[in-house]
Amino acid sequence: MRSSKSKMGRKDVKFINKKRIKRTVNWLGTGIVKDRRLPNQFYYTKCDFGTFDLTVDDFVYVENKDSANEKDTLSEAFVAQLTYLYDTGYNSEDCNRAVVKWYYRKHELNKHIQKELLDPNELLLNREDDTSSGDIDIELILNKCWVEKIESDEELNSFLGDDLRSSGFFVYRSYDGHHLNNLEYYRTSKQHVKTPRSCRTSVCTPQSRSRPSRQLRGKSLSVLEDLTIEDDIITNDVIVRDIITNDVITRDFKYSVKPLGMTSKCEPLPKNLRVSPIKTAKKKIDLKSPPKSSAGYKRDEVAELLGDDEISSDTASSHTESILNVSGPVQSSRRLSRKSVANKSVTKNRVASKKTDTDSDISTPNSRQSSPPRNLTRSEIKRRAVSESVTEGIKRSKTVVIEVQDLTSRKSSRKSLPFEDKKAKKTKPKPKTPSKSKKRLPHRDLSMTSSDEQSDSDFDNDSFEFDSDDSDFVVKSVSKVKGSAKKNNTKHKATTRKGTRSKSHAEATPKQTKATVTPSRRHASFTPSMPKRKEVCSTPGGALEQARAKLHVSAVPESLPCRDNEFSDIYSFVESKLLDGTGGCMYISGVPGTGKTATVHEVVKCLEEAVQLGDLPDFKFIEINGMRLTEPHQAFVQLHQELTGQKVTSDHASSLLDKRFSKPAARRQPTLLLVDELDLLWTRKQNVMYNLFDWPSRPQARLIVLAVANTMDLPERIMINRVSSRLGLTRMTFQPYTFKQLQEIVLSRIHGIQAFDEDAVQLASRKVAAVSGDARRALDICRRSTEIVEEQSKGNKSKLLVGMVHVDKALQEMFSSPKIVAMRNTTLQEQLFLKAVLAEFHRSGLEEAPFSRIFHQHIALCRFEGYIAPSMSEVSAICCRLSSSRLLLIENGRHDLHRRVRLNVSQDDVNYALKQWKNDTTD
Amino acid sequence: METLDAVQAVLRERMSGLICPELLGFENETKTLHDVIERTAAFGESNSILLIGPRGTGKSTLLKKILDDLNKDKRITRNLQTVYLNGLLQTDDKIALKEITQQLELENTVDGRVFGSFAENLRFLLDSLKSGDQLSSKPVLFVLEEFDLFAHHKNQTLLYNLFDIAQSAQTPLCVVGLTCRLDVIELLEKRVKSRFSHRQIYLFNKQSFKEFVYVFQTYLQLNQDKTIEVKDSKFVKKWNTEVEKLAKESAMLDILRRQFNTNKDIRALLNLMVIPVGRLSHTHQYLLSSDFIDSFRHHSIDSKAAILHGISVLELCLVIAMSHLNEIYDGEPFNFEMVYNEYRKFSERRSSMQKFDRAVVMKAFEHLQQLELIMPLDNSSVRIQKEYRLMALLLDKSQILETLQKYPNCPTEIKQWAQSAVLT
Repeated sequence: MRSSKSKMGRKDVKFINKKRIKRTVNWLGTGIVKDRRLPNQFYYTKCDFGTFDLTVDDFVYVENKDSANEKDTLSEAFVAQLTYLYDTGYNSEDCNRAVVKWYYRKHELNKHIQKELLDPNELLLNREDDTSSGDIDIELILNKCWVEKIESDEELNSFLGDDLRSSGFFVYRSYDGHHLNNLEYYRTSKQHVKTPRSCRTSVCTPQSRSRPSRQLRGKSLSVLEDLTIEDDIITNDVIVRDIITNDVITRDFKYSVKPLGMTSKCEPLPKNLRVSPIKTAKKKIDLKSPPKSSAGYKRDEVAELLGDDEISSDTASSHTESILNVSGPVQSSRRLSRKSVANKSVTKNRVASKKTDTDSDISTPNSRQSSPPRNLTRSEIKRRAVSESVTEGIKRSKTVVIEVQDLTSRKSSRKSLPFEDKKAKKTKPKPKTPSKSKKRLPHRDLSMTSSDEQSDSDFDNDSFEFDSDDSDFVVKSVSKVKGSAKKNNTKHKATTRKGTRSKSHAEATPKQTKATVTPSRRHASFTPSMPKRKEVCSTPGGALEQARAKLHVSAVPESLPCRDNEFSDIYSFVESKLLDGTGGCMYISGVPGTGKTATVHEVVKCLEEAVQLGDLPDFKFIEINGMRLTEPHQAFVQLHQELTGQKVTSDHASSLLDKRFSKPAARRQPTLLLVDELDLLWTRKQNVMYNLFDWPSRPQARLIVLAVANTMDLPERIMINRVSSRLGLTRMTFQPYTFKQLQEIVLSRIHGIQAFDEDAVQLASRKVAAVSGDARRALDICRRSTEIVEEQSKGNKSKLLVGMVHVDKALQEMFSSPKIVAMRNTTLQEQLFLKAVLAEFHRSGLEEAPFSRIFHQHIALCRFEGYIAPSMSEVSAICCRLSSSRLLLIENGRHDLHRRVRLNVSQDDVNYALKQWKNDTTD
Repeated sequence: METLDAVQAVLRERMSGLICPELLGFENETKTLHDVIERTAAFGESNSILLIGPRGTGKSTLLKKILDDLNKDKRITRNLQTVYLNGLLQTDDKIALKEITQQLELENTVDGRVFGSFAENLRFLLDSLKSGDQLSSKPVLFVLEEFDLFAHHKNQTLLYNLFDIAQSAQTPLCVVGLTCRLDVIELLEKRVKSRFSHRQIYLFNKQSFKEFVYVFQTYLQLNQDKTIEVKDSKFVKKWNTEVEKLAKESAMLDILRRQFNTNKDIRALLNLMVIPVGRLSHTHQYLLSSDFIDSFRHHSIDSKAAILHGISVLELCLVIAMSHLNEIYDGEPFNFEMVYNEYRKFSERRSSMQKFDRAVVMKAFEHLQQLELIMPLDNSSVRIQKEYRLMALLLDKSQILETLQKYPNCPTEIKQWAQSAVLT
């Protein structure tokens, strides 16, 4: 089903692209001026739009330019109803415009609203959008679509209760962004809206047909009548009908059966000739198909059977030729499409013939047929072509019909799997139960059944019960042929099974494998999740524990203190851009831990609240963090994935995004993009940054970029001019927090908890403010202080307060350098080596010395101090140990004796540490 | 003598470092780290902490002890996942990510293997960690050994993300880094540094000599209750008193003092004990101080002097010539021609010496280069005739003189030449 859709979609795109040049709008009727100030602006009620007409109140598909699925435009297209059609009167490209009312399709809605939908095909009338966004270019209209309007509950119930209803859309409620309302007061003209029932009952009266169907029928007629019409148009038309998957159109074909039959009766030969000149067809068979191929057999059989039934006419033979030609391997797309035209009509013909059944029986085959015709694999086309001629044959010579039918049946018996045959047969008498195999292979039904009927002796002829008066004869002759057909059947099964069968397998199996893809490769199918803990998480009990939990950086406070100005600046910037529907960039800088990202998140939170209240248009928030990307171009991938949910390569994502942001589109949602750690997106060509800042300036992109980085002068420092120019001058700097602000931040978090001495907080914030102004640091220090208090109290839980002493201890732990302690705890020889280094520095006057010289100094020192001198290897090991803890810096080991040694500590520190140590040891 | 074999086996196992020795000191540090990890498991509090100390101070041992301790508590075992990473094994973020995914057994692990590109894996891991929350997710303990090496990864992506998650309300993490670099904080990029909680525990080897001797003794003594392998309690008693005696012997104490002065690392002490323990036999039932003296000599031997013992007289002559050149030119590099010239002067002066062809001398010169006793200074890519390639001697004069003392059958002329003042 899926693959068929996408296949269809590709054609569809082709069609649209081709159409974009050709489609022109011809206004029908007289234009009315609605606004006196715009005397050139004419409103119309109807227009001819290339392949179809548009009338006010029609439902149409509007192209979703942001749709990621290029191949299948309709599945993500918007649905809208035309309210006005007008010509702006300016001679510009987009002078033909339409005002539409939007409808929500399922995929456009939020998850929780999606749950409310009764059916995947339910539409919701959009009551949110203002009319301005409903003013679109007519060119964006892809096609018409069928929407059932349901106005009362009873209707809804009967509609939903109807298993046989089509896959078309229906609308019952409206959605204003908050609530779902019934449509009750919303009345439309009855002209277009038909309940399914009324449609069905009005089968034969052309007056009651729905509009699009009439129009399409007209087209199909014209195709068949006017055979000199340009091929392109035919193709288009055919595809148009293929696109329209819903019931209405199919039903329409049903109605058009009779005229079609008439036409084909009128002009049968020219068509055949066009399809295949007999001689070339013969040649083709000879050349391209080996004598044992199915085509060859068919010819023989046909001749044989013709002989049996004593009927041989020119028309008959020409038919057979045409069939064979079609089944030949070379088929141009033009021919393909033409076949499918004819084939369609055949299908409908058959449907019409079955109409002797009850009302419900009719609609089931219809719905079954509605989508599969798009599934045009080569083999199927062959079969269709055959069945095409079958119907034509019916009209002209009865026996040929039988031959061909027989042929088709045998062919299909080869193609279809046995179990499918059985299934088809079983379900046939009860069309109400929808069977999957049928849905997938509906076209084979006819032929399959016939093959079954031939192999089984009991003959179920109701599938061949034609509406025409020929039906009796058909049935009879089929049963006559039965015997010989059986023979041939088995023969064919033995000989030609391989080729055709594998084809049908290939057609059927990939779908199944695709559905159950092995999980190893498809990452998208995984849901990221973490294992759950087994036991309930303990909650902090005491005041200190509570304070500690509140002081954790991750504990998000209700509001961010101390960043009010920055907050309001960013908020108003984004808000204005959202309201204007434009885009823009803002650069935010500040040292780490000054609340840049937190403020932006706060802004987004507030904006989302505003959206909920309906004050702002809905927007999409996307966050990209340079540190979370493996390389800068991954930014495109992530952005694209957030926008469309698809994974593509970075190059592709870049081009897709570029396309998206450079084209205007109907109903584009504004995007708010937070680019964190911007400096990491730097590349040599700077194309990542260039694009990120260029897109917002495109008129229709509606992209707002908030770029966050640490350095204030980043745009000037690392960006080339064209990038920094695009970034613009909307900049903001987050100053490091002052001690008062830090104090406020800490106090606001522990508000109401008696855990901290006021002075202690001040000490911590003053210390931090003096160093970095990093709020994270201040919070960490306070958190560590609470731990120190707990450690020191040793279980004494009563009334603990964090005082200056504890904060000081925490500060000591975090900021004191451990190097002096480290030096004091080294071994004697290591200390001697450090002294030797100092002595050598002193001797040479340089801050660097080769190892060999220090070694000499070391040996001398040892002698002086009265220790046994260690060997060279030992001293070398000592040197390496000291450098592994980075008290010393040494060169690469391959220089051995000549490697240079430097101190990583100040000489004073070494002197201090070692003097202290000496005193300690002597004491 | 099965008992002796058993004793040997027990001691060997101890020497190999498989069994954690008792840690002396570090009570405060242990408690701090213990509390941090326990809080992560119990409250879902995210933390990051660094354990810093020189090699062999017992950082990993400390952590292992704490985890063993915590694992006794079922409440914690069931609520804590542990991911071990080592900077020497996970040399870049890509490998590290795969390892993490594998150890966490996330969904994209198939049969213990992780597929997908680096970007996909990173995204998936981050999304997974993001999907968790403080109260319901199982906390994860990340142990990063050789933490400093992770800081050399590109952009420090892994560290940034780990610390960032630890600072935000996602899956609770406890990141414990172990490193021997004291300046590790300076390695962190400013954003990573800001996200790190700055808890650092410094571990230094504060042992005094007394404790060092005590450690030595406990390592060798057999524990009567626990060592089931050694059944002969009489022997065990005897063994223990012998070890006690040994630890009081002055020769032994001398060795231990020297060891203590150069390296008080426990691992080095264990290495020192390996040879004596291996020498135990029927005839040699108890450890003697002489064994340790041998072992110590073995460990403190100068490797280059040892190599010099094995070279030929000609090569020795060349080495002496080079050392003279070094003295003459004050450490400037030399080439073969200079060395050959020096050698020729010597051999002509001392006629009793056997004279070698230039080609033979060249061969000897190349052999010295292969032994890495001399080292070419320029890059090998520059094509210079090998006779004129500049070389540097990687030996100290003291090493050469020391070797000559022990060199078997060293001609006296050579000794004299080596000891002679150059500038006469």
